[in-house]
Amino acid sequence: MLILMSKVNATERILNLIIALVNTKRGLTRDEIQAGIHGYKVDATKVAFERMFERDKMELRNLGIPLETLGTDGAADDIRYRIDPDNYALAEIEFNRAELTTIALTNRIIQDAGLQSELGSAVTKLLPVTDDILEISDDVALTAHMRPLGENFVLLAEAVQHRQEVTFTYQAANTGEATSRHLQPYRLRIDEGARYVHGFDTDRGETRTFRLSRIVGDVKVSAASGAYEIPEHAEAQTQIDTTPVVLAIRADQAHHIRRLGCAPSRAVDTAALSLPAGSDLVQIDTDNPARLAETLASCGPDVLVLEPESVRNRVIEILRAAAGLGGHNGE
Amino acid sequence: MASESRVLRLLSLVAFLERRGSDGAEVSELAAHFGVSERQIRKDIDLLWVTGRPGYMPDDLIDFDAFGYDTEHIRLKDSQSVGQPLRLTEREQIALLLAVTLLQQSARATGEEQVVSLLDSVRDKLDSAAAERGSGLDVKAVDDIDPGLTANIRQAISLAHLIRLTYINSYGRRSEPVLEPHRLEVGEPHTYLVATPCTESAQTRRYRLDRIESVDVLDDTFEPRSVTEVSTWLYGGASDDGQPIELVVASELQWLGEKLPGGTVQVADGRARVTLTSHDKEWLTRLILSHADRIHTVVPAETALDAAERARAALAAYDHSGLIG
Repeated sequence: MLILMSKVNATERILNLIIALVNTKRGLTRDEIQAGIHGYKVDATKVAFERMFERDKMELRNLGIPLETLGTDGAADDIRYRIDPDNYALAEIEFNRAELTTIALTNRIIQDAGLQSELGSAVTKLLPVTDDILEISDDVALTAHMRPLGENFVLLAEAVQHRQEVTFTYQAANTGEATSRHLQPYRLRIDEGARYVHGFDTDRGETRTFRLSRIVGDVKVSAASGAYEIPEHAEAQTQIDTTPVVLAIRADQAHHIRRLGCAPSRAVDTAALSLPAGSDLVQIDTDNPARLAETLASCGPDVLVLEPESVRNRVIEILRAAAGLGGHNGE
Repeated sequence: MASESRVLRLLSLVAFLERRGSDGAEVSELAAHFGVSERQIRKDIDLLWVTGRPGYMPDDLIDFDAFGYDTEHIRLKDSQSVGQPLRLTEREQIALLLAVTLLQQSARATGEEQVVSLLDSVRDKLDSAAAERGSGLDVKAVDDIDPGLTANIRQAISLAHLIRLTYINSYGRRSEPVLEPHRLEVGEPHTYLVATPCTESAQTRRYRLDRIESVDVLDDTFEPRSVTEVSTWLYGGASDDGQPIELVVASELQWLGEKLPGGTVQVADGRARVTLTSHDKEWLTRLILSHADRIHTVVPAETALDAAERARAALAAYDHSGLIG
């Protein structure tokens, strides 16, 4: 045939490979692929063919088309490849025009280049599952600036799906010291602009939550999948323990701090104290007392910490250091 | 990448036409649906036409209705068993689920109810099509906002009415500005109102919705206009005098120089020398107070005087209250 003479580009070769492998039950050996599939050079050296075939297998993987290998217990040349049509196809799903248009809108939200390209290919794959013709309009006046999620977020989300253990370097919040951590990741959390991973720390033998921004470099994902089970109550555990901090706030001051809290959950004994007149008592439940102490210190005399003592001492420590700045002596 | 995305489009094109069956589709419809030119659709069809199963005889090839092709109308005759939509990879599912969740939370915060309910049905469908495993994602990217507040502001924007806010600024002070409201914007994790104060030479800026205590829609109207110049939403202030401030800080505070506008940082011997060129005086005082025990020196030293004075007042208050034991 005439087309066999013409030069075949990579796109065409990949399509021919997919079609051939979907249409074989028995599978095709490498030799059969080289000799039979249009686009591979029949007279190419074995090495040149292998290189091209490896690249194409990689491309199939990136496309999300699972390649099945048969006869792997025999000689390497006898291994046969096929694509199982059941694993190839999308589950039964259907969208109307409005839904599909909204899905296409999602790319306004994602800032990460890597995720954008995943989203782009996902949308292309969903384009056939509708009876309508898509119309992209700018009707929705929605402006959103999401912070990038980062490659580690996606790596960890995949590791959770596959139950793969991970290793990473983590910078401790209090000391700034970087240590290597081994984790069985259970869940990922986005909250208050921060990203967290929760899981079982195999070195410490207990569950821990880590902030992704304190992970140094890339997360390394171990190859073995199904390495652990995620306990059913893992969801509840992503809630970090909170510390109640009770404050006395001067009248009509520090409204931004007041808004973080509420009235104290239990009676606070202030009889022995002489608080500034008109002070209000406010309780803030915080998962990050060290950070809150810094914010409270920034309020100066407007906010006093009543309890716990640890937070109060930390604020006083910061204030004493501040009193010594600017050329004056502290106390 | 380019060839991968073309392979995807080609396979999706076959699947779309397979679904259309004998109805087929216009070239112009396919171009609109796949977001490419009509010329590109023709090239895609040309390419698909010569692909197929080994043997590559006419019956082995993907086939279209040739007459239809000439008349701008494409009908698929033989898909060679690749007429199924492709399944999503796990990364694609994660990206899609995240994006849908983030968009939905943004839409909820700005009161785009129609988008919220559309995304509800999208999520239901994606969930039922996904594998049985849970996603393992807990997403709360955007803070909840009182929908009544959002509705009032949206109404004022669409009718071009002035509003009066009761607003708490980032230093905890309460004010009641009268504003021209322009639009709502979502930033993670806060939602903002972009508005211009009705005072002379006032700059358009962003107001955090969670710091608005109440909103009054006034009877006065204003002339709607397109607003692009919005003063920075980071740290709320322009420079007071533009004089650079130098801080020598513990190395864990080096993010100050990396994150702040106009900041530079040099690290040596476990200390970081941070230079800030843009600052607001009140903001800088509070910054110094927050991190004082990890700040070694401030140049010029007078910059820290306000912070030091406030710190002494605070220590006196602790002392007077009987809280320093």
